[in-house]
Amino acid sequence: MLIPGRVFSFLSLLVLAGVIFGEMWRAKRGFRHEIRKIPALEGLEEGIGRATEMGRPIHFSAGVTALTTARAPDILASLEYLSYVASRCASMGTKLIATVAQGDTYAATEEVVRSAYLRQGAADKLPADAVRFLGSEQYVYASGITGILTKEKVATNIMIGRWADETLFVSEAGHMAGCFQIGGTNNPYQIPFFVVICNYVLLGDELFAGSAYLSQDPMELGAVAGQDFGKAVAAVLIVIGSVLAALNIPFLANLLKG
Amino acid sequence: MATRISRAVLLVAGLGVTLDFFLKFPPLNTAISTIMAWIPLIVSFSVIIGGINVVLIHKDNIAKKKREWLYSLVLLAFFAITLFVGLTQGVSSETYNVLYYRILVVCGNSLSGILAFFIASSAFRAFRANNLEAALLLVAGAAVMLGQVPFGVLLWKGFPALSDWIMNYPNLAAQRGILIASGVGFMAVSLRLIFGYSKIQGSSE
Repeated sequence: MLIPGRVFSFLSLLVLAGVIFGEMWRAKRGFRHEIRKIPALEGLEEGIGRATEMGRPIHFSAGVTALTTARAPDILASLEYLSYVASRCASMGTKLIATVAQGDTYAATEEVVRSAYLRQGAADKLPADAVRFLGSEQYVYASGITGILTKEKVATNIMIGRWADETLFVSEAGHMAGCFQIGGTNNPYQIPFFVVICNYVLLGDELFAGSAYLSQDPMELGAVAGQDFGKAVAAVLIVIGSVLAALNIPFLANLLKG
Repeated sequence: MATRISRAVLLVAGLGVTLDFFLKFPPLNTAISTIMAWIPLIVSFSVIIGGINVVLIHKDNIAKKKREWLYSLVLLAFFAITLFVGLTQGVSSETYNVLYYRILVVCGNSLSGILAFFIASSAFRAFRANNLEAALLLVAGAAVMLGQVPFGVLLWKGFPALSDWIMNYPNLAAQRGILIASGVGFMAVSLRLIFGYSKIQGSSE
């Protein structure tokens, strides 16, 4: 019944799910997980405060990827940041501009922003053009953002999600426009550009821990603890696998292929 | 109520697609193939919503004569022309191809070309040895660049090999570390979402 070659992956998923839900259950029963300080997330508050003081807008983008692709978790993680940023903008009266490149992402983004303003009791303050669809072509989208950053004098540019070739184009335009910039992606080819240009960067899997960090919700912190367990197991397997491969013992490699 | 229904749909669809990847069970595999075939349909509808958003925003720019409203006019004109040509002549017609390949793609490629200058300006800022990490970046970056250009070989024949070693060992190891950790994060986010523990679900409740 299990497809050959996917048995180990299936078991890994079951174990990881068990650990994540186990940690969430512990958190529900009162155990408090600690999370290390993530500078980029502290920077998020700094960026929102800067825009508020300057009376200028905040721009948020999750990149060009669609929700209906295998990269959807990046976009979903990004929407959790957007939910936080929109809530803060609603409560502080700061203008938010969220741009999207895909139709399906547009629907989700609009819902997240609208819900955040509703939660803050500021639905009437939500501008009609807060969420903008710019087009799904990579450079159409990138040039659209560039125009917004410069014309609307954006104070803070937040680029958290799945970023590809447009990374450098958008972030360098943001730098030239004098924006305070926060970047975040787990695309290893684009991280260097963010590191070079942005004020703060979420590196790799930090992207998936942000929601828990910002909310300090015990259940979400529990999920992050479970996630960390998965990473620790992967690290141990890498070390053991390297040693066994050096000794020409294919046991672990065969197990992973099973 | 609507949120509960959407959560139930998400749970069933999420678990179904996940199990479909691992199990050979024809009733499930057929059902999931059918559901997956709905995706283009849903995406098409959402693109229409996006298109309406574009029209509304730029119509407003023109009506209120906002800054650079002429660009909005050009955008709406091309939007209308492309839509008209696509609907009347089809997306394979010569006119549509002119609009797409001779205008849109060319403009995109031109913007892509600007990246070379952006790389130069960002590299200029990055390659300043302010601290140990920046100094290492500077040395590694310089070695990789010199390994990729003929001038580097003239300076020292070992640059290509050094460049390859940096790219294939330290660089690749770091990239794989990021990918593996992200993979675990992927699973965690997906599980939280499928089982209804994500902050973005039911946020309007």
